[in-house]
Amino acid sequence: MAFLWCVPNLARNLALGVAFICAATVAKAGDSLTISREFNLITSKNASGYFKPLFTTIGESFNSNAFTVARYARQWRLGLDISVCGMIIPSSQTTYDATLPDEYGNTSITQTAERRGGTETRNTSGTVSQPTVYGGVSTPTFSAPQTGIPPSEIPKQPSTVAFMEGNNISFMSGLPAIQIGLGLPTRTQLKFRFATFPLQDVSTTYFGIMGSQQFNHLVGLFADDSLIGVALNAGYHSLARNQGISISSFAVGLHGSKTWESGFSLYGGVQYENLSGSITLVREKDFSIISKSPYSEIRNQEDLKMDVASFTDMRVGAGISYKTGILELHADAAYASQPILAAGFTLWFMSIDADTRKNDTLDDSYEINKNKRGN
Amino acid sequence: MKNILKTGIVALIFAGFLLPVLLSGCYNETIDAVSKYNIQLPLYFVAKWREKHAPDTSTDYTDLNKYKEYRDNKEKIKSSSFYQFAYWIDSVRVGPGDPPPDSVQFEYVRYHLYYYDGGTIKKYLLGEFKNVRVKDYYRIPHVIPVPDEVAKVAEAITKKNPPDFYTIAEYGKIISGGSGYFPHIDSRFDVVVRFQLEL
Repeated sequence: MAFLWCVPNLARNLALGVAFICAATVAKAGDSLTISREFNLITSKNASGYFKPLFTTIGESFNSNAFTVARYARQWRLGLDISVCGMIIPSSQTTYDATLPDEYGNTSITQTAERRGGTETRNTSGTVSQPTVYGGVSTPTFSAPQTGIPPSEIPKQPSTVAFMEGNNISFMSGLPAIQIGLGLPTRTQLKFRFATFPLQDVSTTYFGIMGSQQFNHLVGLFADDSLIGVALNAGYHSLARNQGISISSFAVGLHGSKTWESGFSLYGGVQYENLSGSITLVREKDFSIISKSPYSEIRNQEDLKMDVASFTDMRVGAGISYKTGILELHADAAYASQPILAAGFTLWFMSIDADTRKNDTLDDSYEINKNKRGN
Repeated sequence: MKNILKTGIVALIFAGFLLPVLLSGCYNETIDAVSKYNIQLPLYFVAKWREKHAPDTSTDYTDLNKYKEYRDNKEKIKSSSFYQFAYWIDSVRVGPGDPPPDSVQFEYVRYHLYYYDGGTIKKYLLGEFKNVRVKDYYRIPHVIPVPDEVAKVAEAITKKNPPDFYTIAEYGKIISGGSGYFPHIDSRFDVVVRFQLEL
């Protein structure tokens, strides 16, 4: 019953999470994504920096739970894996260098001031530290334009600028993974993820494919211990919408494991991963309303184009797995730019021995192995 | 048979209890965290003194509805507070025979805020700048934080209809000499309001 309750919540969480990435779009302009009004205070460059830690979380989610034990049986196998992960947010990812309006720092055009704690700083140019989506309270920069035009309802430019605040998040749950596992008799394992959901009435699709290939037996590595496995793994993920979202990620890695007869295994690995792409949002076009923003991009209602990138390129991790019957439980931790905790379970519904008995090759079934060894 | 039963029970406990607890706790907390967030909105005021003698005051009125950013988001606003404000003098003219503007010094400049709550006027001191030399404040912003007890007044204002309030610029006496007469002072006052929005 509880599991049935959980599934729609998973879908809701996934949709909400992705919706947040897409800046909570609210309206439709053709097939383009339209920026929601609350995000109309941010420029493209600052949005890329503000959301980069969230993109990092998403990228790490894509590439988590891709492998566990590196000893793959010579069997046809079919399973369902449900996994979760969470990322510890380092303090270095709670701030980013926000770009100030071009004229700031030029005292013949404007005098500026900001107050942090008890300290007032004047006429900063270029960039200023502001919170990311995971950070805290932002600091506005007040601007006093030097022009002699009399004040009116419309402030002289460049006017005061305020920045979006963060949510004070130190631990962020990643996107849950519901994936199909397919084992091949070539000691290969494939995992597939797929989800599709409407975003502003246009279908948005996520898919991921991950493959692992055990190879130590091919090169004579640990040939005398069939309970040790070493494998290469690779993965590719895509999140795309016809217009507006194009994000992809790939990963390659090496992992190994040691299994004991009790069903417990220790595994670990190293992985290189990457996330890239863009999100384009159309700003609401209403030239009857004069924006007070000091940024010309916002005043001119230009499209918001965010570069999608991740702080993470390498991860090193280790975990534990326990297999009993059709159920495999797994949990692991990995060090990356956002350290990762992950856990889940796999139900192997179908395991068809290829020729393991005939060739006297140890396989993934401990009962069979015991019989083969005569104990 | 015994093993299948054992596996089934473990799977059932994990799938039926542990995972939903993990998901409902961790994930819902995360979603709650990212579904609420704060934006900051600068509000702009121009205090216009015309033909006045210090000490005196000028009053300005604002309705948050005149700010597009507020109108766009007001249905999502869950809470609001005043955060920081900055004050500077934008233009000034002194009376005939008085010392030049640069040498003018006010004992203080205070900014007050008041609004009507039903039939009652509620008035607060937003902040005070002491020994205000025009030279130091001429198109140079000075920032002070809004006191906590006043910051939360924004909450009450945004719940009113219309969400309007008044600001009073109060100029203290002149301590630099001169008649204290000013045909013209325009000063700027930007206040930043924090709004918590819910997606």
